Amino acid sequence: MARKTIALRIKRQDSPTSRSRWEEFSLPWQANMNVVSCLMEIRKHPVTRDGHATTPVHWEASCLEEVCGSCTMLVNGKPRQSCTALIDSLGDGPVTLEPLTKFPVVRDLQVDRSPMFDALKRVKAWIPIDGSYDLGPGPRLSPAEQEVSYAFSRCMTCGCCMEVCPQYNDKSDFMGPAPIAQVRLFNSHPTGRMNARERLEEIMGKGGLVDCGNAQLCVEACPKDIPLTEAFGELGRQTTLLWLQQLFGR
Amino acid sequence: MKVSDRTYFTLKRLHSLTGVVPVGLFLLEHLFTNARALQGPEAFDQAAADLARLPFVVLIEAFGIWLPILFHMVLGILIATTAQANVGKHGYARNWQYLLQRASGILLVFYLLYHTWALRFAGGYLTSSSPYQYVNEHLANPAVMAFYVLGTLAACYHFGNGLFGFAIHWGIATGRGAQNAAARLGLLVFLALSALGLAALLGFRGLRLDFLQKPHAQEHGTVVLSGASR
Repeated sequence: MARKTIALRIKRQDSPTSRSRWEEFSLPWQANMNVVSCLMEIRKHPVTRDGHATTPVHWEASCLEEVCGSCTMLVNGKPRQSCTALIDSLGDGPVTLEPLTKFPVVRDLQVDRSPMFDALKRVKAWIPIDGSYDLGPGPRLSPAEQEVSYAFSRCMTCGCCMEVCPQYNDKSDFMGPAPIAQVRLFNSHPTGRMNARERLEEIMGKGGLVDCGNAQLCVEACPKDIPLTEAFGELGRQTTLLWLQQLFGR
Repeated sequence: MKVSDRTYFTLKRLHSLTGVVPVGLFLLEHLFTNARALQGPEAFDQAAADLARLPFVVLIEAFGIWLPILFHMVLGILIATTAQANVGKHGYARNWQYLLQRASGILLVFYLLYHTWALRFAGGYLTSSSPYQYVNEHLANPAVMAFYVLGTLAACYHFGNGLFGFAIHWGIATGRGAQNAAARLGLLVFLALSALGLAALLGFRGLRLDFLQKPHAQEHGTVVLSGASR
């Protein structure tokens, strides 16, 4: 028998500096609803469960197919994309929605994920291909290399790994798992490899890979099954070798 | 204190290295020497006397044991303060391992301060006529014995699971299979060393285990063959 209503508990916050509060909503059940469609229903008729008029719940979403990462939030305490959080798969109890806790809240369920983008800049997570003349086509990648790189290229900087990482917090300078895994991606690219040393040196300093604590939660939380911990082992080896080179080769 | 990136990396790598060599190596030696207690007071007293007679023993102690432990300890405390444990929300096995690594480390700070004060720096042990007897009386207090059991378990866990972290940090175990194997190896080392360490503690309270002895076991460091058994 299909259920009649969906109960939602949503953590609200009006501005980055205001205090948070909980609001409860009740919606008529429809087939194939997900968290995003529930939030859209609330937006049409922003009234709480006990009949008080409120503001529409604010959240961020773009692709609606789990490739952009922007609708990431805590759904029943777990960080995940709200677009692929199907209501019928979440059990019969109320669905709890909270903003990610490791990023500053902008409003309601929207957070500012720019610390993660800043870390990507720090590790130069791009391939410099510009020249003053046509540089020609780059070297080709073998299918085996493509296979490995593809896994890391799926990262959508959603922040799930950062949210669960016990080393990524206010007390620590650790840049988090996602940006470090991108070093693995860009250092394996034939053109990107030309800046491999710069990227490795960046993650050897404070806040880099050396501050990883091997709790390995990142790999459990990643919605894209990116082998983050394998990247850390691989980069651990590369940074060790570079360190020895610098130590004994100077 | 401001340190350069390379110094920071070197300090973290040295922290990882000192945990295995020499501190981990010393733990192995220590527990094996303690296990001589399972062969009786004479055997342990002899082993203790042999160690005390090692050439340059004070230098070995200072630079092979105290200094590396102190370094590992100070950096370890700093590392532990950057953690934000969340096993309540995410109770995966590796997350528990991560938390226990830090918790055992902090416990060991207190345990080692007490242990080295009681059996090294307080003085009574080094001047006692029978080290075995001294430890026997030290452990007669159930609260002290309980603290030693806890300290031994913490040290064995910290070393065993530390090997898992060591293998990843240094890039020895890179693939998922290798990392899982490293975690299992760490668990095995923890269990085996714990058995050895706890048996040795009981040895100081009278437990005797000699069923795995070779028939030509030596006593008192001089060759005394137990000819009667042949």
